[in-house]
Amino acid sequence: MSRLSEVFPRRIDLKLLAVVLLLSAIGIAMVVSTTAGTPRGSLGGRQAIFVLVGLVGCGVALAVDYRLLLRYSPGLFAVSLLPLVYLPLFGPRIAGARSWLRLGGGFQIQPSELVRITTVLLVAWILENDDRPFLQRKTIVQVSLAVGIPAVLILLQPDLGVTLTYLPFLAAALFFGGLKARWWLVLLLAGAVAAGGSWFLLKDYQKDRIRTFLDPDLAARGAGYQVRQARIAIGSGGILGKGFQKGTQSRLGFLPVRHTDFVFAALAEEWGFVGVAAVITLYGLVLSRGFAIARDARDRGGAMLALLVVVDLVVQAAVNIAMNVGIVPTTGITLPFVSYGGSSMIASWTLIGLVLSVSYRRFVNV
Amino acid sequence: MALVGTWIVVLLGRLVELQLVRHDEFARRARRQQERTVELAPRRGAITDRAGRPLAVTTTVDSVFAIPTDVRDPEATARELSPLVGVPWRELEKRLSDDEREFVWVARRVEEGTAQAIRTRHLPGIRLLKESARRYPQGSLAASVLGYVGTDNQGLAGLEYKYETAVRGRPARVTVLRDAAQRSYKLVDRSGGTGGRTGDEVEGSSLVLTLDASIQHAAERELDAAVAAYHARGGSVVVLEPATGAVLALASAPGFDPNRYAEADADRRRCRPVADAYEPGSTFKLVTASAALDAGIIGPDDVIDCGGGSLTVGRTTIHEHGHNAWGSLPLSGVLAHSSNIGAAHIGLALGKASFFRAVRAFGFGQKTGIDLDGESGGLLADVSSWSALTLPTMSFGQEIGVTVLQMARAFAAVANGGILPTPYLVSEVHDPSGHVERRAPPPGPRVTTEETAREMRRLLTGVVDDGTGKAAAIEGYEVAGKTGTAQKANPGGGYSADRFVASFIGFVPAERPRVVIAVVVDEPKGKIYGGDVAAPVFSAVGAEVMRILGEAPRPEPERITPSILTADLGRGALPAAGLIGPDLVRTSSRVSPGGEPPIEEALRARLEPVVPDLAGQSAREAVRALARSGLTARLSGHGFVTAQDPPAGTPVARGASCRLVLALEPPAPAPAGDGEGLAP
Repeated sequence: MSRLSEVFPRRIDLKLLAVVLLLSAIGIAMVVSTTAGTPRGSLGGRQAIFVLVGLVGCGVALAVDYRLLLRYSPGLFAVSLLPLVYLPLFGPRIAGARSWLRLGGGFQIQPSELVRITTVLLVAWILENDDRPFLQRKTIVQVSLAVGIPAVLILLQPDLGVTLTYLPFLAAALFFGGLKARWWLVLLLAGAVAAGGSWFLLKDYQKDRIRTFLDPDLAARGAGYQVRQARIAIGSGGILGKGFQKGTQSRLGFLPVRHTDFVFAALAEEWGFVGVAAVITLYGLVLSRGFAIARDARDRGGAMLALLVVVDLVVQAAVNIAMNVGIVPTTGITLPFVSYGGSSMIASWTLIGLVLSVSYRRFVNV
Repeated sequence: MALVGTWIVVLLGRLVELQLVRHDEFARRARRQQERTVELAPRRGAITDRAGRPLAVTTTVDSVFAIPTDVRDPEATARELSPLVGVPWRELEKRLSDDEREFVWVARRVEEGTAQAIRTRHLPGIRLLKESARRYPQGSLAASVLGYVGTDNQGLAGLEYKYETAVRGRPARVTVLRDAAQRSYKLVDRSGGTGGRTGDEVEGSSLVLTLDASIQHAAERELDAAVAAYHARGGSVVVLEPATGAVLALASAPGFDPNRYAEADADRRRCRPVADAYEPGSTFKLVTASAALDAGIIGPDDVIDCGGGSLTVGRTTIHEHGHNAWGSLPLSGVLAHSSNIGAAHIGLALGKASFFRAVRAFGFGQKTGIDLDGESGGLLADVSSWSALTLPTMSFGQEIGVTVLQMARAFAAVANGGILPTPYLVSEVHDPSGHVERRAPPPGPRVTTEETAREMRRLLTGVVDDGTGKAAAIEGYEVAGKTGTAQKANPGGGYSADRFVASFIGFVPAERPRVVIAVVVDEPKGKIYGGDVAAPVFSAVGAEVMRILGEAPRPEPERITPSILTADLGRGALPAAGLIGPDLVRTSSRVSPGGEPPIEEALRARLEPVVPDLAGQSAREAVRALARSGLTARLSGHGFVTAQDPPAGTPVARGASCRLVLALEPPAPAPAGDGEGLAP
């Protein structure tokens, strides 16, 4: 411990790093388990590469002073929005949505995932500049725009799942920034109206998902199929699970999108209640480390950055798990660090890099 | 934090519900959709004849399959396998490259040599699997009785179908996993070793039949020969043990090879003696005569009014077959010469109700109860719907549909002292544990008195000795039986002039019958009479059966048979001295049981010809017929014979002459055959 302390004198939060590395390792294992032996072959190697690239992103975020990033966040945000404007107009349509940007060489990224980074920076920067106990009206509008603009652009792709991952930013910003009770009331009311109104904006398949969430046996093979199969996978896992690579629900192909949206169900099937409780604990640790780092941060911007990031990641995880166990409707939200996917992995690791950066630079005179 | 805590509690609570509380439910649902139970068919039980000779056996053959993911070089493997299994290598390569499957067939049920060649090559990913296959080692022998099995070894016809549950055995169940696309399968390997196997399969029971393969073979051989010789549509032979109902042979022509049943059309696969109903014609007079004797309407020595050749019922006149016209005949003559009018008179004397009761009692209008599916019960209208003609015509075998098996069974009742047996095919069921179930049906009801049955046996020997059934005789044994030549009904009504059913049904030895043999030939061409077409088949099969059953011929003094005498006499030659010695006795059964007549008398009776029936024949035919009997003709007029003196059947000395009156106008062409005679 002493050697390590000398090299990294209690600067890098090793606990957070370890927890996220552990989640990523579980993710690789689950991607191997759910994709090995399928016609496409195992995607475990690719997922491992994504984690490595994510670690690079994490390192870059850690290396650059976050205060510099905060200061330039409006510009970074503006630049990062460009692909989001481009995509709905000219982007290639893949699986019904214009979410992907082809990079050449067979690579493609989801800009909506990467914009999360600049959005977090911008919101933290806005909150940095309003340090009263309660947020000013101007700040609330600014935060709403910072979150709302990318959210609307992503909704146009359309990608409801990723759009929803932006909402925690707004809620967390307003909650931690400080908001008077009457504003919460207004927000709740507006949210209710928006939710009600949005029913008419939803696509048919999205409505189906909500209907089948309310009554899973409504459509045996259609939209209800995923929810039902996920519940069977989770339930049949029992306490200790069926064992690594022995999840029959997922390996026999009953569980749909088992390496992405429903990777949690596959995990629950193979590792049982003990496994999923451990994973939930890991997300809890992410959250508590984030809170600790925010508490120790040297400035309001850094604290907000840490809070926004961990709340966003953990809320994503919570919604994904809730969707897997069938207590919220199916949306395209993935399980951070565990679900298969490059853009999400890289963005999430970069966000963790920002948190580590806040922790790293918590002492003023370093 | 409270919010986070609440959320975690909700999620964990839900997980507890799903994974702990409702785990069993979901585990069950998972199994239900993921697992399939596959039955591993057990070895099918064998079917043997009564002596244990195999008629249907189960052999194992190798089938070749591949596990594509284990095949290292699909192209090389395919090229190596292709000449062995006779599948183009490109086709094989395609199958071997299908990595999405865990199992593909390369070739089903290959020859042993091929299997061995593949086995020795040790090709990676190529495996052999034992599959069972049903084989019928005797080929087409008894095919319509045995039936056949489908590709999954399930009985589809005959005994294979009827005894499916016993023969099939109990399959082992093996649980396999299937994927959501229902594509790949693999064994569930829970808790090691045995996979998902639940219990071992239990081999099927084997059946021992009443059939005797040798008798069956003889019956089929003789039947096939007759069917071929007379270009017949088909035919049936039933060999029945009268005392027990055991079916010794059940032949149906044309037949098929159950090893390749799919190549035979349905018409060949039918078991005709059991499934087909026909109008029996004169063989049915057995029932008429037995019923009348039993009821005491007539006595065995009574003379029956034969109406001078015709009988008018209402506005319809029934004629005798051929151009016969008997004023009256003894009961024995009615049977021996097969007088339709005589039979009709007997039936009329009995009355509708008694006759119908007797017909039912003899088992007609209902299934015999033989252990085969697809049995016909025949056609018997209820007495309430009979027309005025039904009773007289049914008395000689019209207006009733019967199966050959029903007829054989009715004759068996007479052979069996009046007790109607139930025919059966499976005598023993051997289960794999060694338990043997014997299945002989209980003795049936009495349908005639023993006295009537004895009288009938005696009367029916006359048919073979002196009547229409001479060709049924068997050297060394006394035969009793009855011929039948029935016109087939036309689809539009009335009877066909050129489609007949020729039959002979009888038993041997007449005094103590071992077997009843029924021979029925459907639509013979050329010769049509039961006595010409079916009786020789009876004789050939019967001789073989006697030899196979080890039934001793009559004692020395009775060795000389009517057939030899008839044959020799027919050529106008005297029997060789060695054969007709001082020990020669009569071969006719017409003698009283009291004692043997003098040899000279018997010999004279044999040597003296009787005048043949020449009515309706042309002058040339008539002269020739007389010459065959050693007689000469005195003709008056020209054209066709309208009268003759002495009348037909009169015994005369050799060289005597017969006066024939001829006229140009031939008598109205009455329907030929001895089993019909119904005029429009």
